[in-house]
Amino acid sequence: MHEYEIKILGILKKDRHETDAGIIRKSGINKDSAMWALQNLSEQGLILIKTKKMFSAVLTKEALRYMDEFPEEKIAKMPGSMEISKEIENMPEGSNIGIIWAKKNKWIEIKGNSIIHIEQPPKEYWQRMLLNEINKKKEFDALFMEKNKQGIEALVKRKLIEIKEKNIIEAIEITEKGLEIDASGHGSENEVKELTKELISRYSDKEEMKFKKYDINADTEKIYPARIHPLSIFINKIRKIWIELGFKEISGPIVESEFWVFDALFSPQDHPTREMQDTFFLSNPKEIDIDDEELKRKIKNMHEKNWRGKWEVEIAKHAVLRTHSTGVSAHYMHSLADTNKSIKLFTIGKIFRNETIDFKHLAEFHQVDGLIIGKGLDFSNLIFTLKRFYERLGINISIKPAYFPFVEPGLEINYVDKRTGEVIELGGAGIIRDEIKNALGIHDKEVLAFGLGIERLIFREIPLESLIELYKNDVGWLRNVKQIKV
Amino acid sequence: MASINFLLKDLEDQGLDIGLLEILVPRIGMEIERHDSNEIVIDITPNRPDLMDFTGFVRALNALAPSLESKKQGAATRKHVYEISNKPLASLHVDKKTKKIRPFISMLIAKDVNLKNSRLQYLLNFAEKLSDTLGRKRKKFAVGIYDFDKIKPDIFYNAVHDAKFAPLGSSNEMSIAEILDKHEKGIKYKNIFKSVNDNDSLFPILKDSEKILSLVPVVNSEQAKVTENTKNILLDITGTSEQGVKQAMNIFICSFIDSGFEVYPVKIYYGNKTRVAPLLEHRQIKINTREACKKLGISISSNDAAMLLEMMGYSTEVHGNRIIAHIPEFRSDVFNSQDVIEDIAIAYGYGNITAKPIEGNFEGGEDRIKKHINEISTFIVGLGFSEVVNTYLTNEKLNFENMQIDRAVKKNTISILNAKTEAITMLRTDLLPGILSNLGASLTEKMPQKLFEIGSVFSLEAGNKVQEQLRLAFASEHAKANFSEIKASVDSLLKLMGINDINFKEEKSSMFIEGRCAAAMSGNKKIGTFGELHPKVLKAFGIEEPTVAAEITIHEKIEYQFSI
Repeated sequence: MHEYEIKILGILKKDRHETDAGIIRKSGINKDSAMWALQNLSEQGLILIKTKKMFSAVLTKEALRYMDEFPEEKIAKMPGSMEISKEIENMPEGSNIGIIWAKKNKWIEIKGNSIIHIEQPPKEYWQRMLLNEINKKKEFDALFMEKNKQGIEALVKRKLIEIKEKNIIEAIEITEKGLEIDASGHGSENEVKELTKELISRYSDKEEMKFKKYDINADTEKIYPARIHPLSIFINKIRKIWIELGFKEISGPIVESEFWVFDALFSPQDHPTREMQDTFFLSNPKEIDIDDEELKRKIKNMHEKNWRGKWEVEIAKHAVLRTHSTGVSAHYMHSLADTNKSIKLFTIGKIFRNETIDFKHLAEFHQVDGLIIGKGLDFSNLIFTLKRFYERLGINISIKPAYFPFVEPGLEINYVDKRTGEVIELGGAGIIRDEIKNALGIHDKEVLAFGLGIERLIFREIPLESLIELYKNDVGWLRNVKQIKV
Repeated sequence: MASINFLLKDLEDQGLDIGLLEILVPRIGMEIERHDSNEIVIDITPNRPDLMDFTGFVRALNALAPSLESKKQGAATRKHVYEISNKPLASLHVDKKTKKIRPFISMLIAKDVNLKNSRLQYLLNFAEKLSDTLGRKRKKFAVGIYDFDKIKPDIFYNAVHDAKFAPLGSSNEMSIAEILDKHEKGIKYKNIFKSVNDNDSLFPILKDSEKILSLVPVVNSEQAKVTENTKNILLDITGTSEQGVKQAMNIFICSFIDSGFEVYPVKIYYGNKTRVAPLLEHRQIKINTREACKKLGISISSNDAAMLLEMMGYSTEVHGNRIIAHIPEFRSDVFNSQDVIEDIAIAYGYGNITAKPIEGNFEGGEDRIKKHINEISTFIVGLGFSEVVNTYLTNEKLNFENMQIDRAVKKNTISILNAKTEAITMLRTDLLPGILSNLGASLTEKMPQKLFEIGSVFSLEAGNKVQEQLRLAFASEHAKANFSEIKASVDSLLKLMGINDINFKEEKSSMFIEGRCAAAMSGNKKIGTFGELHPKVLKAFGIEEPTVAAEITIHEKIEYQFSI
């Protein structure tokens, strides 16, 4: 018997019954070890653990916004009839679901494109009342759960709450068998229980040492090895593939001027992706200087000659969080313009899109960007390189024409998800435009470039409901998530 | 990317059934977003606005179609270039004052048009989407369409302070101020005008000899509205970009000619000067077949290349290795030979290009910093800490307030100007807030919980320069967590990292308990802070058990040299 088991049994022999907290307090054993010992004692039939199911609810961010008013209430309270398609744009998030529920509750009707009000929502709307009650209660028992079964199911289905279930210990009692057993820790006279340093030194061939047999099926205390995060493992896997394909790894800043993210890559200054709704602009610092006067002049000429509008350095100086890592490629094209050798380069890093974040969407992702500079490179080489990379990940890609301002010809990489039949877009690639090469100082050489998403691929490696889960770092998830094969 | 809807039966009438569409749409670089038995929605690639037009879409796909049957109707077999009559059908007088607010205008008249059977809807949709995308939400240019038979020429393009007319969808006359304030389109597009409230604000309007036709580029008047029964139309494009106006006009001219309409210019009066416009400019680009093959890695003859270009709507002349490619007048995205070569590749079919390896030996290699990160990760995992990966974007509450850090530090943070979500205001300045949030969200898991993160943090240094630092942070939460545990971990880790002359100094920090916090030093240089977290911090993150933590700087300043 383990020393913890002996200690706990000793306490129970005296007091007959106790709570788990009481046992922990009296024994001085830490919680996890105490639980493990209790489990062992229970399995040996020495104690009886009486448990009870308890539930707790975690409210999602969405739910927190609904505490005072659900979207269906808001919609049902709006005056007059209205056109759905137009009004929805002006209504807060969740309006779609609001309309569905308002209809379900028979507060409104939908005629064609219009909402017609039938009834005002009650003051005490049951979903809101229940949500508030659940929020107030930290924990609740099976009885409450049963009583509000339908309501809770509805809230769960709407992703407003998440129910967690656990067994809590009501009481621990010692059994007859437990009272009888000799818990002194010593086995029968001639059986060795725990091997000690002293016993080892005493051991000799002449004298047989008898060992007590253990129940090898008995539960052990769970241990969780420390692990590397799946995203890091996956990124390292991708890095390794590119390095093995002869690519040198490079890196660059995530805070950049528009100049390197857009202007140097032939994206016109009035291009929609440069607008506020897609790109994070910074208020501090507002601007990043572009020091290289000659380069500035060349980029200005490139824009004004081809896009015809006026190119403004003030726009190019705006500080942004990079929306792709192709800017790193632009820096390297410029700095390596005179190199005679052929070079293969890649970088993996964070990129940012100004998305509305919620339980499913993030505003930051990873991208791998690659660059091959050399004489005589062609489009078929680019296709080969991309196919080779994805083959190593077990993905059979297809390519189709696509437009990116900085390449010509340009291509898009897709694959068909076998489980869902969905076509997944993996990234883009192409031959860097002559205009950009000229401006950055590359002559007599071709430059092949690609930019590939990372997060989309990780769904193939581990089960994930959404990308948010990947960045939540829930300790239970980290301990139990499937190990990615490298 | 813009999407456009067509009825399947209209496309079938043009020889394009769904089976064919599923092959051709991706081949030309577009995507079928969805379709049912009635309608198809297609994502149009932004460089090909001509494909948002029904006529343009049909023309492009039929030219590319593999079957001879459908090719007969396509542009590929029609060897002519587009021409517009030089006989003006109306006069347009341009007020000099428009130059200051919306300087460019182009106008055409199309006769004998047929707008029945969804064609009106397609035309209006196209005009709207074109003005929205290539026209940058009507700012760069916008398209207006009127029933020419309801117009009394001459036509005037004026700049006025105010005007009154009944805008589309309204039976009452409204002033410009009222339109911008109350009309749906007015509200949507009023930001196009630099100032709307000054008494000297000028607004561009289009009128005929009797009435106002539109407040440009916001809304047309009800009076000259086009309907399915319209026989002759007037189309204007106004804008701030001469190039944009011209490109858009070219697309309409070609589309109308291909629809069998008769297209006429107008005579434009700028004070004393006059000219007849629009004109169609014909452009040609010479390409070399050998160079095209070299760029694409394929092997085809000049005649093959010419045929492929014709499948993309070009007319061609072959002279040995050289091809003169006549650029379709509706294409504004063809700058030079590399764009023509891409069209050869598209017609050839990307899937038909044989992938070929790059010759030569290349030596791969790791980035120095990434290598360092992985090395340190193995050390810290050895100490029983699991890795977390948190986002770079965060907010003041999490990053500062929860950590009990004075907000005064804020002036050194990288702040976001325009996030859509309140949860995003800045880039993280430290790693610990992320780790502590993770612990706070994992209460029910078995203790001890030991987490680490290695990653970049950001701040502003002197001279408003962005400073990126590489940090390592780790925390251990359990009932017995104490100062000596974290000190032992920091000490052993720094030794593994090869740091010399490690010593510890007493440190004061609002996030740690006083007297249980220390600075880790390498000689005289501070490289990290660690200790027992103050209950205030633990409470703020919802952590229930004692927690010790450390944050160590690995690289004080990451500098990117862009060299290998």
